[in-house]
Amino acid sequence: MGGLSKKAYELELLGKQSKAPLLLLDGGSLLFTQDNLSPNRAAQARITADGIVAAYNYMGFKAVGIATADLATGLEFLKEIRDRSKFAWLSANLVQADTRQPIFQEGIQLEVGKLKIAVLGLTEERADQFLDKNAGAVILPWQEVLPGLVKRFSNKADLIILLSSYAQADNKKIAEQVPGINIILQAGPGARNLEPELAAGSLLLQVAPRGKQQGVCDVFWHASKVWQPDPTAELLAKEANVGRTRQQIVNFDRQEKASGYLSKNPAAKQAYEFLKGQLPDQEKKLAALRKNVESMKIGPREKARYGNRFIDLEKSRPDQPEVLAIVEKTKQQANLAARPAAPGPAREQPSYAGWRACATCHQRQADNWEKSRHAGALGTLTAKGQGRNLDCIPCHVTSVLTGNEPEALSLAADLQQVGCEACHGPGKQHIIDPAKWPLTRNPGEEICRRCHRPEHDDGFEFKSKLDRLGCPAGLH
Amino acid sequence: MKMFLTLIFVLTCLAGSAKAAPTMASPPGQDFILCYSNTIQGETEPCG
Repeated sequence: MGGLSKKAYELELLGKQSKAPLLLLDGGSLLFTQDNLSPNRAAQARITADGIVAAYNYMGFKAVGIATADLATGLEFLKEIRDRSKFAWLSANLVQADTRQPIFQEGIQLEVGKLKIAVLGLTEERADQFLDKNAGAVILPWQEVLPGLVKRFSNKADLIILLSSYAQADNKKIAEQVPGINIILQAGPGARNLEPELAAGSLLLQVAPRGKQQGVCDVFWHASKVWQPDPTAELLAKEANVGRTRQQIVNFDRQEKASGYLSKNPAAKQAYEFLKGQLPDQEKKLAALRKNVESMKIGPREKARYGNRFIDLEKSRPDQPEVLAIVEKTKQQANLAARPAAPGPAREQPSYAGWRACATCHQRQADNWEKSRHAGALGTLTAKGQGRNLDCIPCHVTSVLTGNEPEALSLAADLQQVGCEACHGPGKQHIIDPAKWPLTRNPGEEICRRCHRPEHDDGFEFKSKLDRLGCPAGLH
Repeated sequence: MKMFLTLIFVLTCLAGSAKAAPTMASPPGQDFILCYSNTIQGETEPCG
């Protein structure tokens, strides 16, 4: 949850820089990392969920959609969370099975500047399978609830925004079949940054998941309620493209000067020539577009317009201090809440031998590994006060798989690192009879990518890491 | 093949229109600024 303090900083900055009011909304799946959590993990995950809600309360969010992952520890917990939230939890189709009445709010109406804005919520039907069958709740198809809901709100709202955890294809159907929804915020499966797209009369917006980026859309509303694509967005994108082309040419020139890179590499030379050939045309089109955008700003507004962008919540950005304090406190509490899977002495994993067993034959490789950060992987976590954080642990030890995280808290000492077997596979049989039970000698990139995922390690580059970490050649 | 891959790489870089930009102020005149996110789901920084 570390990105929340960056998000809070950026939103605070945006609020100070802009005269227009901000409206903070979240499409859904706010609380949990998985759709279904084992009881072992639920206690810690609930503490983290509470921390996220405290941060959202502080930032001034107005509404959040209910998506599948929000139900991962049960409906009752979500109701408790709702009672601690200063924002609305929205779902029009999560209803009581017997009465068909919504369990949470279907929608809210807000005054934002001079506009009356309705915000509605829909929960993807896939969430139905994760509902506790004793909870007496079901998720209805959107077709049953949405048309009537939109009709009710459209009488009193200038603008309707839908928070939807359905997939994009479903959201397009919604836009086509239910007129009157002006913006759909998508939080469905496979979400990533998308340029805004017009579907029927609705503007579809989507930002990448896991809080690494923040979507920002300037809305210039018009009584016609008809969208016109804002050329500012295209201008920004084209400016960025031209900037990248220029930078790449400079980089190639620099490499050529330093080492004759282009002269030695025909493929790079061809790419360089291609870029240089493209640049004048790109610059010409950019100048024309800039002129067009300037003239549009002077003229009267005939339709609603928007300008969308994504703010990168990079690690280098500052933290908002109050939200950072919430994050740190929550991490500490979550860390303390973790309990081993079973009390008792440290346990060996059935098929893992531990790195010292490997070293009895592969001493040179073990010596090399001991100098690496993998050897101290759990230590780096502990130093951050996260040594018992079940979200983090599987990638900082050997042999613990997702879904079985509490095992990590009672591992044998030789497995409390990212050891040999984390990459080469379990070796207990191998040490008895190496010929009969050979291990993977050259683990591929996909093994690394299980942990070095973009959300944890943006800059992971397989080859350079392998050069630094790879075991010395030879078996012993 | 290598040449082809290099070209693909370059074109991919050029096509990055949906990438995030650094923070910048909004242009004036808008009625409101919609700030949206989804799927926060816990960790966004390396654990260790």
